[in-house]
Amino acid sequence: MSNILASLTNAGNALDVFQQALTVVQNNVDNSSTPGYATQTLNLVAQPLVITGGLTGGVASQGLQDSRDSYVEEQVQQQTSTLGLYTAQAQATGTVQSFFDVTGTGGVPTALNNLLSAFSAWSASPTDPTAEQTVLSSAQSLATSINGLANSLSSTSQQLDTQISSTVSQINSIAAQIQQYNEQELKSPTPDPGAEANLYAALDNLSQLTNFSTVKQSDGTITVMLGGGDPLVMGTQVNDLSAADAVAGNPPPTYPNSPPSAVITDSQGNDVTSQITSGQLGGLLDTRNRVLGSLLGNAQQQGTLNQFAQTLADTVNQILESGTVSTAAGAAAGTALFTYDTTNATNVAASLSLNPAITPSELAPVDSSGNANGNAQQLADLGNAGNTAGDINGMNLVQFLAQMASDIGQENQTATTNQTTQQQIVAQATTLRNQVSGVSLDAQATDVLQFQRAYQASAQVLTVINDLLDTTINMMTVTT
Amino acid sequence: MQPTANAHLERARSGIRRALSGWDAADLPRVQSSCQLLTAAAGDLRLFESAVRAGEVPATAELCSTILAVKKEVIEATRVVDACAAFHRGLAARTGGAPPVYNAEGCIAEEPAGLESEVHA
Repeated sequence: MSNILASLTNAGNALDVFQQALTVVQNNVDNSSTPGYATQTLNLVAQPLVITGGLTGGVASQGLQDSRDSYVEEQVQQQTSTLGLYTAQAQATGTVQSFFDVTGTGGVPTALNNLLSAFSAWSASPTDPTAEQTVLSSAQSLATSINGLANSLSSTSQQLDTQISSTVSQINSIAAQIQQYNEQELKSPTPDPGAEANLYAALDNLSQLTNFSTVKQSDGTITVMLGGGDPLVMGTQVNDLSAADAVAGNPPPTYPNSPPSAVITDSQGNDVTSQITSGQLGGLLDTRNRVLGSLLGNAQQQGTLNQFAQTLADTVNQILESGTVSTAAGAAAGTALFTYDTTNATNVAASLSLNPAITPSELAPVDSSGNANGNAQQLADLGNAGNTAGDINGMNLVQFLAQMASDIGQENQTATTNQTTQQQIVAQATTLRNQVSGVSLDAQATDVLQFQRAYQASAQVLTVINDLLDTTINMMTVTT
Repeated sequence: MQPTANAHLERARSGIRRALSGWDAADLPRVQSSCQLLTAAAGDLRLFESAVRAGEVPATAELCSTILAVKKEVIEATRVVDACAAFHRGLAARTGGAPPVYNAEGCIAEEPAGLESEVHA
């Protein structure tokens, strides 16, 4: 009688276990579209059957198993993070690029050409008051145009600062979600597919914003570390990030009054900016600190726009001040055309202006050798190829300005191309994750090898194509 | 009628584009199909290169620009394929197998020791 009872109990337990398995399957179906959810399976284990010992066998459940694989998850997160970097770079450099007129119909290049044309007309009629007045008004326009560019770039810096702060807030918010998961995990270590789904959805979101790595601890909690290893979430502790502007003090600043750079600090006040090299935050920081820093200056560099403005002003002023206003004996020396803030080399472009004290008759067309239009001609020649006056890094003022526009255009083009390619890489990493998810990796070993061979073959052919193109380009270069 | 040298270049470019647009990292037949398109493109480029070497193709700025554009597309395709290869290298290591061994030509020379038993089981 007891054996029959044991058998019935066994059968009842088995039915319970299979009911649980069906519930798990139903839950998988229900959550097939839930972000971060991974297929769960119920582990079934046979119970020992020792009749003489009273062990009646049967089946029991031994918890849920997640089909998620940490390696595959990391791959998707890393690629997503890289996409976040390129997307932010493409957008931000696109804004910066829009300030550089490349059509030749506006902006600083046109204003510079107008001034050089005005110098040229003045050199033909050095005593003509109209020509003198045109020089002053063109110089005024150029100064205003350079101020406008500097202000636009500064405004972009401020907009990027706002975006950086907003991104940091989002990161802190996601860190708080992960911390809550960890708290729950410590209270109730039983696997909860819903909580896991939320966790991985949060990590996917975080990967769009910054680069990080995760470690699953033995107590079930997740530790999230920034790229350089600084912990963002550790157990129930969150290391909140903050964004601020500061002039870097190490190494000692060459330009202590320069525009500040964006800095990210952790809750201890440690500077973690250099750890954030990817994700949206990485892209924003890169454009804010590197790209705009190279134009507007920072602790270590004057900035190409300031360099241009100062060289322009100094060269023009030096030529004018070395001459005289007429060929008459005892004629007055020339007056500077431009003024700027001489106390701060990183504020030249923003402060450049027409000398408020100058009048048309104070322009000095006569050079130090007494040539009636020598100075005016030197000024008109500033934009000519091969002219070394006003050179910056071997380029004259016009070429240097064109190079600045070209550099930022190149930045934007590279970021946009990278973004397009990276979108495809993220899509394929996600596809590969879905392909791998829910299948035993061991069972896939053969497939993995076949795929590897196919990829390798494609990579080989691409190398051949690349080499052929290089050879052809070289031959073309030799023959042209 | 034999295609002109420039037609070889255009056909190669078209093949590379089709290979990249048809590329599906998770679908082996499509990966193999893309590889065949790339191989055909390499053949076309070889013919184009021979024509250039023989001086049959006038070196114009437009042609140089086209070649550089094709090279840019090839670099993009290489990044996509390399990302797949890197993913699967990691996956192979994850399954417990040793990384694949490559010969001097850069091809997989032999099956990783750790995978052998599973492949031939």
